[in-house]
Amino acid sequence: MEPELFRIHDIDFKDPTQFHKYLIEKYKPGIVPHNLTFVVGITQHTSQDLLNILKKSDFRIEKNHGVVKEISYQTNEEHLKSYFTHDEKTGIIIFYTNYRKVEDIPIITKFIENDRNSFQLFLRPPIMEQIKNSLISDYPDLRITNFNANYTPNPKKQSRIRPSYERTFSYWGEDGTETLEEIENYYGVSPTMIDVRIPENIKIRIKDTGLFTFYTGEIGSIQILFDIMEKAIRDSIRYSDAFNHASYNMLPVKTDKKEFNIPIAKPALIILKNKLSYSEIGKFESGFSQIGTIINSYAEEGSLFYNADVITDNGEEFRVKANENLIKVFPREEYHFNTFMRFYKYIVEKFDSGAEFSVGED
Amino acid sequence: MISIGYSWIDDYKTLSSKDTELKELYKEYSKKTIYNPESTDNVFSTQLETDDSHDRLLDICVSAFTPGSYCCDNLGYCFITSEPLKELGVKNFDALILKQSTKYAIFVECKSSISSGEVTDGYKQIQEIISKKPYLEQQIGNEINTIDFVFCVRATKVQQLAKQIEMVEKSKKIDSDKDPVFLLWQVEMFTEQTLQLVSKINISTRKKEYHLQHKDNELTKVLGKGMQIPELEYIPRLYPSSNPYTQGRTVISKLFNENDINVRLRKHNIDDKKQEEIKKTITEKRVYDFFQSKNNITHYDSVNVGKNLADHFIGESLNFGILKQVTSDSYLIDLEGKKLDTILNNYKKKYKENFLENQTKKKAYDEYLKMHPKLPGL
Repeated sequence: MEPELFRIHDIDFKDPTQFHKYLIEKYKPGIVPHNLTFVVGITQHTSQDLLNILKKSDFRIEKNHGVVKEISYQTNEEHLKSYFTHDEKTGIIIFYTNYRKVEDIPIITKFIENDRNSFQLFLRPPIMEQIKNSLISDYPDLRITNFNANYTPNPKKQSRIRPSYERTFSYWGEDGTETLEEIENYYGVSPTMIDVRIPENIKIRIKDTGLFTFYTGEIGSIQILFDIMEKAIRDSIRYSDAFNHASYNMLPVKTDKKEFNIPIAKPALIILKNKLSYSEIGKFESGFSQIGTIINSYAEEGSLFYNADVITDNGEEFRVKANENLIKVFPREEYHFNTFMRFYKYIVEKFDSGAEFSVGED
Repeated sequence: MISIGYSWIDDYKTLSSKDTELKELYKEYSKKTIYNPESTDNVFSTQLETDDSHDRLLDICVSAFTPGSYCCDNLGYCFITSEPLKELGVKNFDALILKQSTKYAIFVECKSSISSGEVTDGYKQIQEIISKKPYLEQQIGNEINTIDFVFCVRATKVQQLAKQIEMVEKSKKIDSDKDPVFLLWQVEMFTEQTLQLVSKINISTRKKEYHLQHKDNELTKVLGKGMQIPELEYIPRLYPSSNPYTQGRTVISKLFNENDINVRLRKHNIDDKKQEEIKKTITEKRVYDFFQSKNNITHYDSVNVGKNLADHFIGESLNFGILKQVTSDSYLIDLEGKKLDTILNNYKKKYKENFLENQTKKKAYDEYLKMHPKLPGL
């Protein structure tokens, strides 16, 4: 069936929350084909810049409903319609669409991924875990019917079975809740996507890349999905703070007759839960190609002193300094939010799922 | 820094073509592990390790005196340049810190390894600074009335440093009452990075306690307690004396990356081969701009220091077959690979092999000269 965007009334929404309330009160699954998905991202742009960038990326603003914009995308091969909000205070952007996950939604995710100043919301493994656990405790008869989970060899969080193998599980089955727990136990995996059914008829999907889908449920039950989304958003707002905390400047120093400019940077800080050791540096660097190229690096044992200069395909540069407890990311002249988040995601996925940002002292 | 003068190489070639003895010497030396590219402890790798280690120590040391630090913002002691006198080709101190209001200069020399030779050189550097003080004052735009000289090492090396200082001061009959002497700073590199003045250490040549202290009591007090490295850090891309291999890697990465982005942005209809050629072509001007940029290297005479470094990079790269001259002012990066990391891997391989070959030849040549002190025609 051809996808179609659900219709809303002519209301001027003042903020995204008002729109969410509206959806809780009015949204009824099944009125249009396909499910409603929220694609959530976080951006550094102002609303005006963001609208300009959307336009440049072949999106059209069809209609304004206050802060809610109805947008469309149309090329020879692809098309999509969606509602869109941007909360300028938190930087959270949300696309609300009934278009298809596989065929259409990548238009949105690619848009976010390709924008230097934006990033798809990233639900860290501990957050996915928390969301899953609180759902289970709130709804004891809930079932996970489908999930993806993966494991990356990590000396700190070892799988009980063949710990040196990287692995991904995809599972369908009414006993998904139990199965997920079992393989978490034995194979060290963390969920990256879960389909949850809450009897009698609510079904939702949560993906760690900031995708939330409402399949079925009575009017009002979409509230569950908004609550989960809120939780994930609260965790992610710190990403922006951490990024904004970092800076690069040429600062002047004066003598009697001259002035010299000194390159100084303030880092974003990633606090490690699991200590990083000297012996892990090789592995740390080997996966780096997904972020950029290491120009120079230096490591010293005793506990750990590490220093590396990185350049990305976009010409962005940063210096990484680390000791066993802390990674500091120092920006250089060109440095954007997306690169910074990709680096953080790399650390979380490959080294320390508990790694967190700190905004340090001011 | 590894500095390779190439003037001897023509003599080597001439001699080597007619004298088997030199060839034999070369063969003999090339068997040694220190000249073997496959060995982990060849002179290339060990020198690079030492130089990198030195630069990282210096980063921390300077960071304690850059704008935003307590020492600079509150006490007035600010880092103003790396490697004063470098523009004259003089290998001197690593950093100059100045308190403008009191005309108080601190010259800092960081050491990642310590030998009596290094300490002796340090005392020669002091003389150099004293003799060139008027010139330096003009360069930095500030008079200098008070000077401290400092050796800065990792905390684990401070005892060793103290011993070497004592030995050298004894042998040179240095009188700490009259002669300028070195103070000691130690840096803790790991978790809690700190810089500290070491004034409670036994060096028998120092007659009074204050011979191990700064002439400013407040600075002595602050640094004596240990200064934690501030959150803002100094991040130049390079120092003038960073290992030339590191300098080459940095400039090649930056310029290739810029070309790569330009090619992608323009989306022109040219074949892969031509694209690769554009990506690998660099002009002399861009190399100069890179080394002269204040974002990359901090020096009061960045024009001349940058020019010398650029010339060295180009000369050495042509010599090693890393660059190929295309026109009078442009070069091709003559390294296999379409992606930066492949190019950098090949850069390392080629640089290391050429460097070690040159070192081996130089060693053989020096040995040959010792055996034949009066060579006709040389």
